[in-house]
Amino acid sequence: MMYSKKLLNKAFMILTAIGLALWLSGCAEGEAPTSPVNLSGTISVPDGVASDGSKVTVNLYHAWALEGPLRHPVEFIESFETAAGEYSFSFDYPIENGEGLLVYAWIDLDGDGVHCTPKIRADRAGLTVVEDFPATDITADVMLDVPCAGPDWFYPPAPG
Amino acid sequence: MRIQIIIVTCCVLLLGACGGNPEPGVVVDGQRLAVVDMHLHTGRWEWTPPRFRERITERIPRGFKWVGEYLTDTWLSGDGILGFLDSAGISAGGVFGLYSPHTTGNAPNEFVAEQIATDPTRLFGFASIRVDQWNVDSDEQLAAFEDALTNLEGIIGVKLAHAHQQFRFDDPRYYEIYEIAGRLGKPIYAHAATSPNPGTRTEPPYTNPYYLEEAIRLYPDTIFILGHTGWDSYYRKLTDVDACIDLAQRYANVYLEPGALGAKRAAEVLPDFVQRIKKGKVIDKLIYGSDGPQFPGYLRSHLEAFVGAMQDADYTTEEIRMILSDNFSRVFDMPKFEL
Repeated sequence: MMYSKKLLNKAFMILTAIGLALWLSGCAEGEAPTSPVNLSGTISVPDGVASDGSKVTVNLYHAWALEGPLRHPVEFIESFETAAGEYSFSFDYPIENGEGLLVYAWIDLDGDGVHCTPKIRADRAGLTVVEDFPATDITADVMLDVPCAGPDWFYPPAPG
Repeated sequence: MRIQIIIVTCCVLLLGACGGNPEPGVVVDGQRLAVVDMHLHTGRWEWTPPRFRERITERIPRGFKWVGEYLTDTWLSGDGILGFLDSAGISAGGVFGLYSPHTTGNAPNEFVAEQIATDPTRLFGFASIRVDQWNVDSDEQLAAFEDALTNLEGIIGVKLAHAHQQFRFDDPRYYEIYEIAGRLGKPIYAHAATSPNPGTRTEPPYTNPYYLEEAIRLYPDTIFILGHTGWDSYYRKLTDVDACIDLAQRYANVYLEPGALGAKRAAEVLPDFVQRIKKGKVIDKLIYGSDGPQFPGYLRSHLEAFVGAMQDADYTTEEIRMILSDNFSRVFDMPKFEL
């Protein structure tokens, strides 16, 4: 069978374009799967600590993420602000980025916007491990009683 | 797959054919000065978290990102780093270990020792320590750290990156790291800045060097080199530069390093930075580093930008020589680098 050169060129161009489109589409990133979570609970401070009006920053973390030598605890998910007392927050938990859920919070008692300065060590922090997870509706109470502590202060806890 | 290998090979050959290596050093006022780049990274693709893989392949066109693994493993090997040093005319470099599974991944101490063994006269290692499960295994990690500092060949210092490793500068549970480094005479390079890399902490307790001041004061025998000198690359500002300079002025055991300030990302602030260093009279405390290799040509372009900025700010040849190599030799107790 004989084909004209023009026809062959056209066919080649079409095939190249299709191949390129397929190749590039194979690299496209899809939406990361998530699961809805409704979180609520109570954030409290020790007796004698005045917390009225103080901003509380809550950070949500996976308890663990990745595998092998890269496996590590305390992988950040997202953050929100609230105040001491009852709170609630809904978010989309990224299923493939890690496992478990930690609720860490710190309270800005002196209102300076940072979690302690080198000289003023009043702000308090706490962390709660959500035991019954995964779940959609979760209660996590957090006691903020350790000054100037990051999440690694609490998790993973020391053995025993 | 065969086509892919051919493309990679052609790219590498083309890159290699881009020209020979320049003469070593940089010419300043008619004198050729030796250069040491104390801030270089090693590592492997397999120890790189997915999120950082995406970042380091940002520059690679879509459809060709599969070359990321090959390029990472090649460029960050001992041979690769030496090739980059040669192409930039740099005499020697510090190669950093790191355990940062949250952000940029791991470069284990033993791996660093293997890479610097490629040429121990030009590559010097900085060991690190894993801290992400400190309540559980700090004793084990401290023992491994001390063993690496004591027994691995070519390890001259310590690399820490609190913002990457997610631990506060002011957390006393980690102070034993500083004690060990001081006792063994290994200066600590401590990343004191934000970072554009995903997952890195940006809050002051992880980035502002004043949070490290208590440790600096408690361990006067430990040398702290404040990495990036407070250059806030996340917000592209000199946020904590003056704090770093202040500490370097007040403490004999504090030095500075300007990694990434010669990068394009910092082009607008570099002139201000070198002026502040000069005005603060801490030229004898600044040890040159680039935060390379990053990509072909980066070491050279960073060096040229930095030297150009110093010349524009009327640094003397002797001052530039101190920053480019003599301060490194003095702090790490090495002979001066000559060309």
